[in-house]
Amino acid sequence: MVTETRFSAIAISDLVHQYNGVAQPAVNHLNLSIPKGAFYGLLGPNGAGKTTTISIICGILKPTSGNVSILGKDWKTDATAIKKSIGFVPQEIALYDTMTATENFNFFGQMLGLDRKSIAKKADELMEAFGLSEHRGKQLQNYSGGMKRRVNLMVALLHGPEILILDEPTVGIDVHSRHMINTYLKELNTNGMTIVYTSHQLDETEKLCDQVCIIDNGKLLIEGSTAELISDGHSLHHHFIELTGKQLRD
Amino acid sequence: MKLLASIKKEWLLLIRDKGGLGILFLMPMVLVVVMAVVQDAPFRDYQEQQIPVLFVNNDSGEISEQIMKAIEGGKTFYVIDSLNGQRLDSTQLAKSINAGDYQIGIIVNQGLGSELKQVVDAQVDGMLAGLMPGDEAIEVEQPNLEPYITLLVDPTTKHTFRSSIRSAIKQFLSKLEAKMIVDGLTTKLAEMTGKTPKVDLSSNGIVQLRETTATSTIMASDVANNSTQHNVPAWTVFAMFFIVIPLAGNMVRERTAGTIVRLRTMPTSMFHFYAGKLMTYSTVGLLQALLMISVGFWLMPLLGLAQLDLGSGLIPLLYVSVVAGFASTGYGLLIGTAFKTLHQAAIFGTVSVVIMAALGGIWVPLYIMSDTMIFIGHLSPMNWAMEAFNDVFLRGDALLQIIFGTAKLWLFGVVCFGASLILERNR
Repeated sequence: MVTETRFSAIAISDLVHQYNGVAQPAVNHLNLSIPKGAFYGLLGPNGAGKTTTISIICGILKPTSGNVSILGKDWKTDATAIKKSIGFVPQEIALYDTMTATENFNFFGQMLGLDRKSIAKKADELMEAFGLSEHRGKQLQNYSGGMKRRVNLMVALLHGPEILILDEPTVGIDVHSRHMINTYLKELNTNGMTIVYTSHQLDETEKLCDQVCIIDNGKLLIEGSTAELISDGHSLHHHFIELTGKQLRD
Repeated sequence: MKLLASIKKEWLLLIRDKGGLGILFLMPMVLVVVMAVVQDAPFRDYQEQQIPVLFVNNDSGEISEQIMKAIEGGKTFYVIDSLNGQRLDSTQLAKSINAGDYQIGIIVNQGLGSELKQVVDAQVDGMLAGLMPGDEAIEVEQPNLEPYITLLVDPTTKHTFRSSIRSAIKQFLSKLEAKMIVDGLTTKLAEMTGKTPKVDLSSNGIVQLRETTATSTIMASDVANNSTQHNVPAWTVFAMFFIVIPLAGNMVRERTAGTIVRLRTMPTSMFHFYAGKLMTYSTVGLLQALLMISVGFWLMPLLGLAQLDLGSGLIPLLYVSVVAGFASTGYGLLIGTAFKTLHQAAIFGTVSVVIMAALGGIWVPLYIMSDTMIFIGHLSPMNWAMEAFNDVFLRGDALLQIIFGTAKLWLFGVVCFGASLILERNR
């Protein structure tokens, strides 16, 4: 049982999620505590329950049982406050392809409750930081995969959330875009933002995350600081295979 | 603010989707014009259009000439008695009808005139026998003759078409027979009395049929349900409900792309998202209706079709367009929410709209269907929309009557919208 402290950004207690018609729960009595200001890696093989856990944290799915608390607030009573404090970057490019980056910012920004002035200011800042200023007027369908990934992240940052949750944010993109995104995320974390990050890129996770957990079959296998975990001289990759086995997960 | 953002987003997506715009505006415009042109002939009164009739006269008498003149004199038919510069005979006539080149042929048999005259004379003699003072009541022997003309009909013609032709020919034959009897009587009476009676045979009969359309008093004049008046509202309703395809497609694409999931993590209600779609696509429905009405009003007369009569006027028409657009958009939202893949949404959406159209009297008027089908047809929202347009175009109902009559459409739209929100919330 995880004890929630005033330092917890996210506290997950005895969380269970069972999909209809599936015998095995996707998340099986999971307990996690993600400290404020952490760069937290949520790791696991395919089907481990990472996306389900993230979906519950973000309020997309309702848990079968258990509790999720965000910054000490409960989803049942403080949903709007929680939504204002989190930014979610989905695995898909969740943007409108036939709209420009500016139009996407305006739409999502207004849905976040921001006024047009602050959207424009934040969009300018982000476009500059991600090297997309000169492309703001182009429809996203004319962007490269890496550019789209950057905009996908930028939309989640429009309202300046306290917690950023990313589901495989750098999957399938070029080296330069990946480097730019990771550098920016590190900077955000240094400035106090809590980041929860899922990825299959374990080398990258090892460098970025100061805290990690590995889950499989919906259960927690290990949780702790990255530095402690690899202090035995073995890489995160080694521990991952040791804990989850070598069997393919398709 | 959020609602406006949602509406703006929908418009941006819509105006940049050229294929979707084609489905929403171009396709229905082409459809309404094509259907109105194709259905123009069946909608016209048989008295209004002249049907070609192959005619072979095997009788050389005056009576057969009169039959031919009577056929030509009526406005229903025009007579063709020679093909390729050659006079038709019975064999060629049968061949042409059988080949489907012509739909009707009339053969006047040899001796028809004299046989008809003999029968008429005998009937006249029979009527007058024993009427003069001093005459003995005598039985006039009637000739054993059955004069007839042969009518050949293309087997592919519809029953209603055959009935119309048969009744038109019978009508002028009856007139001819009546005239011959009266002429015979007049001549005989003149012989018997030495005086010629004045007979005025009204060509249209004595009892007249006064037909009027049961419209509301708001209408200045009766509006005929011609091809334009039927097809414009019918295909406008069809096009409006076809909104389900691009709308549901957009929604499924948004769900697949993850934008809906992203929105669910934001501090906003899905009501804004859905209401934005509802308002945008309802406006699209209104624009579709205006386009179709414009086609009926300005383009169709240029194509030789009747001009669309706006019936009760533009304001009731705009109101009905808004309601129909609201109902069709509500249905599109429900389909877009209920189905997970584009394939499912497109197939179900298309098939359900076609079924609702077929049941709702879009293609075939409900009143010619069986009682069961009429009952089922009245359950189709497309029938409600079609009837609402007919209330404006043909029945000339006032706005208040129309508002009452469209309550079902409002309710349908609201129920679909509410069901979509509930489904989305429980997803």
